[in-house]
Amino acid sequence: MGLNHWIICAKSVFRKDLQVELRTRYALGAVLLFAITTLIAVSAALSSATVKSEVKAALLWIILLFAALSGLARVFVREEEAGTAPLLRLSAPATAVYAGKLLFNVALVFAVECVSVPLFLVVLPPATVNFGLLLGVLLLGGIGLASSSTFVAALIAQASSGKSALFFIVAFPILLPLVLIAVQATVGAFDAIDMHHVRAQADLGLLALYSLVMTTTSFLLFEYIWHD
Amino acid sequence: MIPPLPIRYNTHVTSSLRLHGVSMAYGSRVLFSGIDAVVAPGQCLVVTGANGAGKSSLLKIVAGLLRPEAGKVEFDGKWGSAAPEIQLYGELTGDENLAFFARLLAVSPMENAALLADVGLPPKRGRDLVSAYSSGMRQRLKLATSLLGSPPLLIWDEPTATLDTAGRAIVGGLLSRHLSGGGLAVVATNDLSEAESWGDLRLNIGF
Amino acid sequence: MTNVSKFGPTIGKIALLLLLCATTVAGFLWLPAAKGFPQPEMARIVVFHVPCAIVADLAAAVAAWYAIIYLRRRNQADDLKSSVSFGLALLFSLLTTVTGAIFAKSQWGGYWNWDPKQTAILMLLLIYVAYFALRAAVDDPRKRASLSAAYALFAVVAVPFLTYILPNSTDQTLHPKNVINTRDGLDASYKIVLWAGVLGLSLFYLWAFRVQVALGTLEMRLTQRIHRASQGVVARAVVVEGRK
Repeated sequence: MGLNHWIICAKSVFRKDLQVELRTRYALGAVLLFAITTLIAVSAALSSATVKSEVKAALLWIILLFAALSGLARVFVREEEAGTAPLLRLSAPATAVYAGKLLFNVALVFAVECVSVPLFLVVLPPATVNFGLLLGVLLLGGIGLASSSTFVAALIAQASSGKSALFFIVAFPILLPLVLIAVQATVGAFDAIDMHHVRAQADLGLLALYSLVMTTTSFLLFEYIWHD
Repeated sequence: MIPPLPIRYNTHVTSSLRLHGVSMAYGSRVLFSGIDAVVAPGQCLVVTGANGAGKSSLLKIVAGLLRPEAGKVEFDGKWGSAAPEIQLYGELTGDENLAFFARLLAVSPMENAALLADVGLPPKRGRDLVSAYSSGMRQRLKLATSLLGSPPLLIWDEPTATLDTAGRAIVGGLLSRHLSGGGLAVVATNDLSEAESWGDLRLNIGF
Repeated sequence: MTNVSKFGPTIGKIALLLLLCATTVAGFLWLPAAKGFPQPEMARIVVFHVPCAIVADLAAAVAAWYAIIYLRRRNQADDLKSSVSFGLALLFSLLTTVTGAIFAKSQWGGYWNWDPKQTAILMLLLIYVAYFALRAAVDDPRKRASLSAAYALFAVVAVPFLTYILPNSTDQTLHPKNVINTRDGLDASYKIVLWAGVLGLSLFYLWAFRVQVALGTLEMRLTQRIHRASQGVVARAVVVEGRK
């Protein structure tokens, strides 16, 4: 019952969530629809305007942030609302449950990015696109987004009322630094200014550090909130 | 009456369940205080009491789902739990639910079909989504889940509340088989005749 | 009770009041105008602004400390201390923001400039508000305590990414570096008044903290007593030996 069993548990929780999600498509539907509708609204509103790359980078991350916030809480809220959380508590190590849920949310964020970012690049094409840099930002920023949101989801899932509004309020300040850094890095990926490129590369390190620190902290704290 | 079931569960019970001064309060409302009890292998502690007296809370404390306000619970071994507020995944089938928890508990899924048979669910129903189950069938599946890995301690909260006559007999049979195999149980019920027939030990919460 | 313990606190409070008055008066009258700033007279606000910021950080540190203690010991009293200190951190952060905005208007021309430090304190204010929103949404006191403590610690870890890393990485801060250490525009007297202000506000924080904790403790005891009284007898459980 060592590490091996822990990995099996984390994988089982991930697979179970994936299976449930593919049957209901609740989170995926919410997140994708949010991303696409905001994208349409933004591009329609800006159809005749010339938009600087800074603004485009900010818009991209605002769309990603709010799309993520509309669906990432489901992993824990579903368990608590359906009453399935207690048996999960009794059956698997807390950190393995968290790992499975985190993995699922990372997958969800990547799925949203895969759909909405290409659409974004078509609808609001930036002057140039440094694909390597953009991919790095989306990868690391996505992991960061999922890591903080998953922990906050575990917190608010146990609240008595108003969970979705609470999720926005509670997750937003934690995600603010991530989004600001990610926007700054995306600016570097969207224009040809050398200084922005250099800065964006430093920002990638910062994004990786953010994900690392927030994930480590959530693993340390999760046990205290998962078990009463 | 159902025929005696074969003893597949050769549980090796080494310890008793001990409650030391267990107390619980919700916010500032005191439910119970200073519960002491010892349940030895082969014994069943039947918890009775009025609605809201704290039966479910006590069972949650024993199951480790709730931290007592004071006191402690000692038990060395695994336990299986079934309670009205413990639900299974409606989006998964009965088989998938059992297989999922079997993986988490590191139990071989080979016995899942036998478990379904034990609680009186036909194999065909194992392939249905749990959301399509009736409440009685759900209860049977919950009982089957609590039996995964044949844990030495069973914690059942109102196991027969939603069951028909045949289901009640099955619960009685499973319990007596578990106890005669050296297992322990903590069961809460509102039905006094059930309490009589199950109980070695009675715990009445109230005044 | 001896006379000393009866009058000691009162004397302390009067002394604290005098100290706070003295720093205020000194800030307006004794300090010379700071020549290094565009509006030398307005720079006096530094001796209010900086102590507020320092005491806000102190309060947040105390709150985080009690959050850790709560998660380790699960004692409701620690949750009370943590939440009281977060409330005071919110108060002092608001004061920092307001004094900072007034200062910013006079020196930089606008109340809000999205300076990295302004962004950082905005994030802190949002965290404090989220902390109390989370508390309000959880009914069970024990759950409320552990969830809010975990959130507080999680937020503490996220804050440095804004307050320290982002300002340094952009290097666009309008805030003068090393304000407290005397620089060209600031007279040495500023240092004295500023640290006196830190001392005064810290003591004020301590006083407010203790009063609120005492009040909260009384409230907890009172509700417990009312409920126990309304229940008449404390509920008991009896184990009955049944048939063999």
